[in-house]
Amino acid sequence: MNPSLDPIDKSSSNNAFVIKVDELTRSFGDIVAVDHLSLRVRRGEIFGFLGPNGAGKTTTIKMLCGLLAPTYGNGQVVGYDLRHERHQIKCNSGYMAQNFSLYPDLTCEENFRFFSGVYGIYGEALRKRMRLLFDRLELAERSRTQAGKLSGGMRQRLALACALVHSPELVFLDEPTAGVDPNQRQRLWDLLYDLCQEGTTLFVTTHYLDEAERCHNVGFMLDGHLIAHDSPPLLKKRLQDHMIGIEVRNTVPALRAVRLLPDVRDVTLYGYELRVFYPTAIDWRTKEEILKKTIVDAGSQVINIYPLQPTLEDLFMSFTHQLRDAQAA
Amino acid sequence: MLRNILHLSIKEFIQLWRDRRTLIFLLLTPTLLTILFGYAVGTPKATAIPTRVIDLDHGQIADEYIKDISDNETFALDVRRHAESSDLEQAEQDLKKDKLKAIIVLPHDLTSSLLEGGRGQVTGIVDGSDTFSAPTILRELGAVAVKNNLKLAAGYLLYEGIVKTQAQAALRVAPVELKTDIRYNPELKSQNFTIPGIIGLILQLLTIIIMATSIARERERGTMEQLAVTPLTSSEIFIGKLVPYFILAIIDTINALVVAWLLFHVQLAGHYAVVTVIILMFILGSLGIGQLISVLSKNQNQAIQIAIFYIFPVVILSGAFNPIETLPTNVRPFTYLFPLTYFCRSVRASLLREASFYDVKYDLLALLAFVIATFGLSVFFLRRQATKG
Repeated sequence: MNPSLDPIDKSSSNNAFVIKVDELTRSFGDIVAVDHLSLRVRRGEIFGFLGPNGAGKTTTIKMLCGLLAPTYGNGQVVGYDLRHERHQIKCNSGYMAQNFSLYPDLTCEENFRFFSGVYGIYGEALRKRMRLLFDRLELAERSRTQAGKLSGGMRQRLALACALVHSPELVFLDEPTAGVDPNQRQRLWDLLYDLCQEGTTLFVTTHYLDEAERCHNVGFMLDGHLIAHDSPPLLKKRLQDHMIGIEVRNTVPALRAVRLLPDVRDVTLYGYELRVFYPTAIDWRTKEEILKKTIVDAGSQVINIYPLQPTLEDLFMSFTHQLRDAQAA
Repeated sequence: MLRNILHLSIKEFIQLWRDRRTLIFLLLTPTLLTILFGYAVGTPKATAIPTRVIDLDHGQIADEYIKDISDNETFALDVRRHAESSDLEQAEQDLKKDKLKAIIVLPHDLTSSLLEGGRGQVTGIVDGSDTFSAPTILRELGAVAVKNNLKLAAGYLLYEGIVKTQAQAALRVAPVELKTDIRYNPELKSQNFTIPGIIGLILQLLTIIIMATSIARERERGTMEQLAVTPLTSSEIFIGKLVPYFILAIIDTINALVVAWLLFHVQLAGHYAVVTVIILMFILGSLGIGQLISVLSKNQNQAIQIAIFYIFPVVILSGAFNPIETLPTNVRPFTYLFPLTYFCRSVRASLLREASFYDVKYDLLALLAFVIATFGLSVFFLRRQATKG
């Protein structure tokens, strides 16, 4: 029998949405950290939550996991009311903090036992759960090692084990791979896919946009607003025909010259490739002539010119630019 | 609720056990400090004060005077008989160099002027820069002078034949006798006063510093954030973290009391129940203050700074070493800000005067107020921080 990480079936599980909030608002004094945010997260999906620092991501997560009461708006998380059933939300969701937040002077096992007891799991149930998770997360050999002596990747897995101790339906992961090497990142994502395969919903924040591409759906947060919420391919489609790639010989003068073109929003450099970004969709052929001329006039040489597929990173930058333009206006 | 508290306490115990150095420090310090301070801090009483007697008189009266001074153990005497005026100059130099605290000058005409029926004059030169010894010197010099005068007067009565015996003479010159009756600490043993203060002060220091770092440490490590998303409530966290240190503080108190009893023979003479309740309330109140500091601090460093800032005035203003009566009256209201003040007062009352619950009711109420206020405020702030972001 294949040991499963599947959460215990709960009454709310027939509901399609694990997170369902409307008009969620939270202000601190005069500052509105989260402004009328409405969000749906489907059961069993990996939801990527993106946005620059200070956009209101942390405040949103704090409201969603029952730490912070919203000043306005309402909703349900894991089937419980965000305002009045915060205790139940805490009991049915897990949280893995951005920085390692377990006790470094306790062993893996002691850390696990502690968090298990906090959720009221003792005795045989605890032992079974620990065996299962430690095997799956490859922690069994190090169960008597103090958490502070573990490697970065190992710590992250222990933190994940402790967040999963009570078989939550929903787990919040705040930058789970920050500071972890690519190999460990890959392993962690494999684990996350396993979890979601078995029905656990994962709510992940990250600054690695390649990781965001792995999510089923992503939400972009900016200045307290959720400005986009869709699957990565659909989101990227929005930017289709906004970008042109040009391979050039003498990059820096070319970059400077193209930047000065009136309808170009931004130009970035990737090796020998200039990525030219337009605020509106264009047919790249109509721009070919002027771009080539500008670059040659700048004393550079065009080797190749072609339309570009946008990445989430481009999207991220584009959204940030929109904000900057709006603020300037 | 109870299970959660116990669970947290066990975790806290394991952590304390891992941190062996801190644990040993916590268990040994109170005992060691009680021993150290028990010997070092008596009630201020100066003895063997370096004093030089310059006898320029070379006569019988001077001999008598020197004998009377020698009987007084306040002074460590260096008697220069057959002294010259150069000896006096030398002595004044030594006083300036702090080799001496006082000089007693018996002038050259002391015996002769008395025999001629005149009045003699003895000069005491005292170093006023030492404000601690000077009053003692002056008081004891006065006592010596009185004793010497009475003896001279009695001798005169005998010599003139007014009285027949020494006893009659004594009755004439000092007809009213002062009889003192010292209650509650008849041997005036200074440890009976200082030991409760020392134990209280050590407990205060320890509980506040150890508690001040507890929640601040969780916050610094980010584990507070992790606890906040669990179903644990603020009061469970508060009490769970307090219990291990409460037990530790009780062990420390017992250790210190045993040391006080074995080494200084200070016993819990009063009602055991009264002393126990006072001690428990005091420990809880002190832990409460520590927790409050911890809750209000962003990190351990800040917590330690606030703790030290709080503890420093406690040492001086709580009456642990010196009675509150020695403080200026305008400072005295501040002494009520510290649980140690109430602890010292009530423990001394019950140790030395066998005070009952009724006798120390105000002190107990004050300690109770500290416990309620610090516990309430800590949980209030914890809860508010958890939901504030």
